[in-house]
Amino acid sequence: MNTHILPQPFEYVEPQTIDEALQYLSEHKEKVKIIAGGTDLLVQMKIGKVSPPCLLSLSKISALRYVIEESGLRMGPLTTFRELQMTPSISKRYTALFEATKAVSTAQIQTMGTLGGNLCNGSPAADSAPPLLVFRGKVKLMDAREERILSLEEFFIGPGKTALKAGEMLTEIELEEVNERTGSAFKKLGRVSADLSKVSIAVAIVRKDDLCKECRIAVGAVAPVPMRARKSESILIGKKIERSLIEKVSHQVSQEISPIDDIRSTAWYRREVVKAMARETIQLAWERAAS
Amino acid sequence: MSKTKLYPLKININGVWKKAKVAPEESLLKVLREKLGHTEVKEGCGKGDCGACAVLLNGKPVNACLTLALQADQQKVVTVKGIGTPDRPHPLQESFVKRGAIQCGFCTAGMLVSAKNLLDENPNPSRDEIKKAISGNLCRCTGYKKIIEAIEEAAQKIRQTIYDKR
Repeated sequence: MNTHILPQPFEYVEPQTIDEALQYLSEHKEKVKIIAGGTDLLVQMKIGKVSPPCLLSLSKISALRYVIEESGLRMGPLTTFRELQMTPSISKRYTALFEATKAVSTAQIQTMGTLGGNLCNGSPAADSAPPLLVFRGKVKLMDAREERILSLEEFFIGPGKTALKAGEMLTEIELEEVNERTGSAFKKLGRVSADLSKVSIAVAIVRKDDLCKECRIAVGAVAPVPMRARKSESILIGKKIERSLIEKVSHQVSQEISPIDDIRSTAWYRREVVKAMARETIQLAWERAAS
Repeated sequence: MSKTKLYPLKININGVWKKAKVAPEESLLKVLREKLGHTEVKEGCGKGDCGACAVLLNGKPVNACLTLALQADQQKVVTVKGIGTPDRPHPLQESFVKRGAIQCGFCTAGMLVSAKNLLDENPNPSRDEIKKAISGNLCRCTGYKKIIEAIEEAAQKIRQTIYDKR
């Protein structure tokens, strides 16, 4: 496999505004592939997995690159992992998301890779997906005529598949508000830190004294899409957190997932290791909610 | 193969504006090496794993193999040659030579670029932070220990310079 060249020529357009981009998308639909950071798409093009006749680059649209804090958090899809890391409100309050951006591949990929690109790839292993799910992320999708808002759970449809239609593009990611009683954590297991995950998990807990008031758990790379583990969550909600209970939840997470064998791991290993990861991540989120 | 349209590219490399005509499918790496003579930027895997092609784009490390040349239009690129010169080497370059942090030398250009970005942002990195910063640069001679030591030494030199200036 020659990854030194992009084998197929393609057209390249670089709109300056969201409107221009949407107009172009509506006129060319399936022919166009959107490029943001390019860290996944260009590799796929080099190995011949995709060969779009036209690339629409978002890099000149600065209106897609922002983080705004107002009640919750609103993020432009072109914001890079590195930019997210540098945002104080993320490192302080959205800890699980902060930890996930740090866990993305390498320094170079964190500089190049964008939040929107990570989601629109539709990878079950997308590092940003579990934390966005536990903060009840929503995505805004626009085409030339209208916009719609979906929960992130509705957005992911299957491996490599999202709810995006031809002519549509992701224009914003929104997270719900968190307060000082919210604690969250993210963990990822890969062969080495630069690898895609075998299993990833995020937990957010809202604590009231000794009780777990709210709990959300999301896992990646263990099902066709990044998913919430709702049955596991319900075990913890309203309960006093104890070791035995966390043990029970971790087994439920293992039951709830539907992992497969692939080049990175096996279904059996994923079911086993997710228990330990769930234990650790729940414990960590719980401790953080307290402090 | 059909002939593709060429676009004008203007790019600042190590402080000098340069022009070229490029096709959309040409990577920044290809244009740097084959059209602009910057063969100090190396090509390894071509898919973003090895970091041999790392350059600073507007001060931040990117893999030139996964950057389209046109995405770098009007931007500032710094290669390993822009970090220091043989006459006035950067403390990192001095330390790499002194500490024997170079074996075959193929990863060195990218390694220095990543280290430069680290020290620009954090002149007092921990060993872990150094390892994280160069995690996207593979050295297949596996001379990581000396590379890490060289970065630590350079960081110390830089901190001393900052201190002396006060």
